Amino acid sequence: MKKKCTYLVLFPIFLLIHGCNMFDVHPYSGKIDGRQHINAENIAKIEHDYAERDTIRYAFISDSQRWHDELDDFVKIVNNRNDIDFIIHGGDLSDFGLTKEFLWQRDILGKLKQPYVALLGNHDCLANGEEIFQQVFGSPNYSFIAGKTKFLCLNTNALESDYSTPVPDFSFIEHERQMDKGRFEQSVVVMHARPTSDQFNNNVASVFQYSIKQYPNLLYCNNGHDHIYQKDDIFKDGIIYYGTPNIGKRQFIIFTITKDHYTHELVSY
Amino acid sequence: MNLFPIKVRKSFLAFVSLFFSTISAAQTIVQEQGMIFGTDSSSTHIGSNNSKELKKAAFNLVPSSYLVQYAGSIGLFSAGVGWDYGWQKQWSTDFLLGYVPKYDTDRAKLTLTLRQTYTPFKVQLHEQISYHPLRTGVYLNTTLGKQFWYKEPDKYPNSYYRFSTRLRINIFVGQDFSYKLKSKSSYFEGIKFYYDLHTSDLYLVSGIQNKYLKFDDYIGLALGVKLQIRRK
Repeated sequence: MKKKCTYLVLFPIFLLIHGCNMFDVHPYSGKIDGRQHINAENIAKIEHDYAERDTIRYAFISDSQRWHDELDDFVKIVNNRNDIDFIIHGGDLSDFGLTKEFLWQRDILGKLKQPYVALLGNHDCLANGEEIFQQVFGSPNYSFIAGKTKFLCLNTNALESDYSTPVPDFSFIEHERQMDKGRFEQSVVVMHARPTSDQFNNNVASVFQYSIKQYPNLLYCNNGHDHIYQKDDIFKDGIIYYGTPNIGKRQFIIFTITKDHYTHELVSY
Repeated sequence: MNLFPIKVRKSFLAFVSLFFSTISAAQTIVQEQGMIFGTDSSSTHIGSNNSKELKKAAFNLVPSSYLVQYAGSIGLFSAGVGWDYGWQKQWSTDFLLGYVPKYDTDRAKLTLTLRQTYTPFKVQLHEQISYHPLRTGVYLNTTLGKQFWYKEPDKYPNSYYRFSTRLRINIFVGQDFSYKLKSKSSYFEGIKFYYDLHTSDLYLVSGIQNKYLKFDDYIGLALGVKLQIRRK
């Protein structure tokens, strides 16, 4: 009996020790352990490592919410290749905006050998998700230069916002066009929700298109959100919007950019 | 559309004030009845019977325990009151107010929890110590703050998100140890230590679908102490 008692006492204590990281304060606690501000760190790496490159090749994935297994497999696939310079995640890392979802996804993507950047998706804005996203990954609008190409990454989730925050942020688009003018010769615009989608502020869709076309040699646009492969000339002006499937479909797109030219390839795994 | 949070706040305040007024009214009744019983021994048979029933009803409204809890997806710390009932006190209903520090967000949060616990088995380890090998149940948790909605705001197309950021349904299993105080007249008659392993609807759906997620990713651990108030 006494032995039994000892076990009965020891079992909860064992659980307690094991459970040190099992204490969950709240699903939306905003308690972030581990790495933060990942985009800024990886952008520095991309801009430094590929500055002299004429050809760059990146993988574009998106919408990995609640597809942790598939994202983990993607990381393994890309780590086995050595031809991919960096990875862009088109947003929707979380499904419910839970703090833990962002950290789970960050930890999976953290196993990538190559640097990656992530965009803000509409699901990432739920509850206090946007605050978590900003802390873990960074600002919802940002840009970086890989080789001679500027990547303009924009928050286009207008439905998640109100008029106090401009989405899309035209002053940011204009400001970025003027920045580092000598360092890039061509541009790519990346967003989560493309013009005409339910999230986009479609009242300004054509103004948006006009403002990004002011960029030097705009090659094409990338988007996620629709969970299917897309290749559409939305505005009939020669600028193609390439939508990548959600990672749950076990598909992603590889883009190869050379001077004035690009190719893309849809990869299934 | 903007009226919704105000309505929620108003109904919450109404609920809380009703809750506390019920408790204080019930306590007054108990005290008065106690005085009658203590002083007036010559009351008629029918009168005392009525009083007994009234007393019993009032007892059911007065909480029978106070509790504090650490973690549990309802706050870093939460505190509240509980009602223990059933022939072996195998049922208990708790109401908790939780505090979530702000951590890396803009503001701290408050949450409300309503929990129903079932504790079917009891093992008497010692004269004063008893062990309940299983406690299980459900709790509903709601987070206060306009960032969180019960139902998505009207600006979204129909069934755009299909879940509530404000209301979480949690399930749990755990165990507890109760220690009964020796004193026969102290305000508290016993203290109970419990732990619960819990998960919520959103954690569970993530955990089930992904082998990548480990047990401790989506199952949480909560620790709590329950102080049982002495009943006459």
